[in-house]
Amino acid sequence: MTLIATKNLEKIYDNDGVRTVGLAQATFSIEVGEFLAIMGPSGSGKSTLMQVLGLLDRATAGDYWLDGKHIAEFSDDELATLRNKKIGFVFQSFNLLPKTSVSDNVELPLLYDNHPEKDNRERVRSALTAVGMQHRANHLSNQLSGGEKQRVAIARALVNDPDIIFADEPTGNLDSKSGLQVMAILQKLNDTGKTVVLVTHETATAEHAKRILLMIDGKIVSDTPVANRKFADGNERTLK
Amino acid sequence: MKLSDPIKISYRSLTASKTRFFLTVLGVVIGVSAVIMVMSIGASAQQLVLSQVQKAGSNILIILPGASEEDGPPASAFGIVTTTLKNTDLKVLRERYSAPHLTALSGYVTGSGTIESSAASLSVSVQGVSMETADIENITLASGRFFFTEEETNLARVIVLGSTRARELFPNSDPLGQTVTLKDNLFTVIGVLEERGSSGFSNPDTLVYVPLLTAQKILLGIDYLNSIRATVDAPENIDRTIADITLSLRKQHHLEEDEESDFSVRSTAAALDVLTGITDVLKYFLVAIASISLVVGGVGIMNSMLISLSQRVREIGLRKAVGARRQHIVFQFLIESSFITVLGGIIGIILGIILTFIASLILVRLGYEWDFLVPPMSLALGFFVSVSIGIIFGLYPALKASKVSPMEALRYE
Repeated sequence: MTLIATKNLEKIYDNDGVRTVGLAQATFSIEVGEFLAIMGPSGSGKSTLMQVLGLLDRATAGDYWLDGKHIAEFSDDELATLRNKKIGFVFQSFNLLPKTSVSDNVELPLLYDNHPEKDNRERVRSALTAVGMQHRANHLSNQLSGGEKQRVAIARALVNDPDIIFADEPTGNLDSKSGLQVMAILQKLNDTGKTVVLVTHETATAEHAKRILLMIDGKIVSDTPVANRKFADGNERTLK
Repeated sequence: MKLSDPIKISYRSLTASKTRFFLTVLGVVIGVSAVIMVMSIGASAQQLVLSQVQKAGSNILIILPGASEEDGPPASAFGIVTTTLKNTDLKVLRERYSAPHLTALSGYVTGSGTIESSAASLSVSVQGVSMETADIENITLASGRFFFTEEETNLARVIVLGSTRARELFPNSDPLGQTVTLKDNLFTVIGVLEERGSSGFSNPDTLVYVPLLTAQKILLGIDYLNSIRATVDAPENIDRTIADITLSLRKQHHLEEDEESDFSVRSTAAALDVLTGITDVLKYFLVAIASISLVVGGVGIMNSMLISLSQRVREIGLRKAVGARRQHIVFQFLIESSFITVLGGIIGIILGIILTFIASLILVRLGYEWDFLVPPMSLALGFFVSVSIGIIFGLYPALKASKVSPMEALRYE
């Protein structure tokens, strides 16, 4: 089943008359359950693509369907609701609320949706369990190590049970061991059926995905399955 | 989104920066308590002024020389000398039929001069009055007596001293029967007033009284009166008596029908109205000044919310990325600023009442007949103004915050 489909998607930045092409003629699709890595050097447009796909920004031309919905027709507030229900974000710099407890951080997306309070607590707990952080639920976010922060951020991305998780350089601020832990969690989530889109400039990180979209100068230059997929937890598994 | 969620969100972000929160609340507390203090103390001060006038008697009429507008005071009230009121006017009004409801009547002249005793030499205000003044002003004597009628007509050189003056002139002896020199004339002290404290705008304790004619002929060399005061038997006869007096005096002054009266009759009830008007204006003026501090508090809130906004651009971006709509962000910021003002308002009201109470204790200690008053209006005003200030000054930062792009969440630091 197709989760994401784009046709001639284009993003042009206009800064005081200076036009920069962020994304040119991107046509591709992502199936439910995929683990896609968008790879490329800095300035290649990979972040632009993720912002457009993640509904954080709008394309200037072309079409984008998310779960069959034509995104151009949606208002900003409707996009906010779509982000809330269908999308989870993991950022390079974690973006946890400071001086706020781990569970309050994870609860954040639920505050913008209608869930009973009791249901919220249950969801927060299971999201934290999924990333192995349930024992830190009552700690403040600034008392955590980088790796722990990113795992909490993943729990926050999971808590609304989204269709797709966008991870923008999730290992960029982490040491290699913590980075591997994060990749292992993302792979595990993918194993349970979540679609994951990873943005990275490192080949080694990208190889944890099942498919790599390589971008240069705003264009998709190659779209290939990963031949020797890496498994962060050391357990080989076959592609589904 | 449940109703409790924005409150939860706001509470969390407010408590995450405690110092700023405290200082912003303090700004509101100062504003609200200032308004309450000013309104309460203003109300008490007004009460004090009015009660002092009422103490002088509410059925007193004052006749001043010179014409006046319907509501305004005549020129003589501002110290301009007008000589249209004579002793003959006093005589006419004393005749029962001209104004039957008058119960007491007294002419007044005032001057100043140096008074000397063996012990001291002072500059004093001298009141030349008729003997009825004692009744009109409820004067009671600590010792001695007030003037007799004969002393009024035969230019007797007798004097009644206010309590303070008596003490100053005769610190170690009984003043009664002693002589003082006033403007080179010898006067015999026949009475000393009981201590009264200041009443209205004058303090009888520092005055000296001599018979009217004595003051006019011997001390001041004038043949006119500064004013006439009279008491009316009952408050409901005040208007009628004013008409009676006006009629009699116009006749006495040979005024034609189309001529303006060259005197003015005022009742203390009317004076009370005027005073209420003046003190009201003063009160509201003070409230307006105190309200500036509320506005300053509001600007403090706006400033704090804008600082908070610039520090939290990423946070707001993140909130939007995880699904917050514009209204959620506006709501969050408005709740934060309203929470600050509600809290500041409540603390400010409590603090304002406490400070007003302390101020009234101090004023009572200083000898004023001060009532501790907190007008309920001031509480309502302080609270609602502060809450609306929170919303008004919180709106701009809130709208600004709601425009933050969710992409801010992606900015790398």
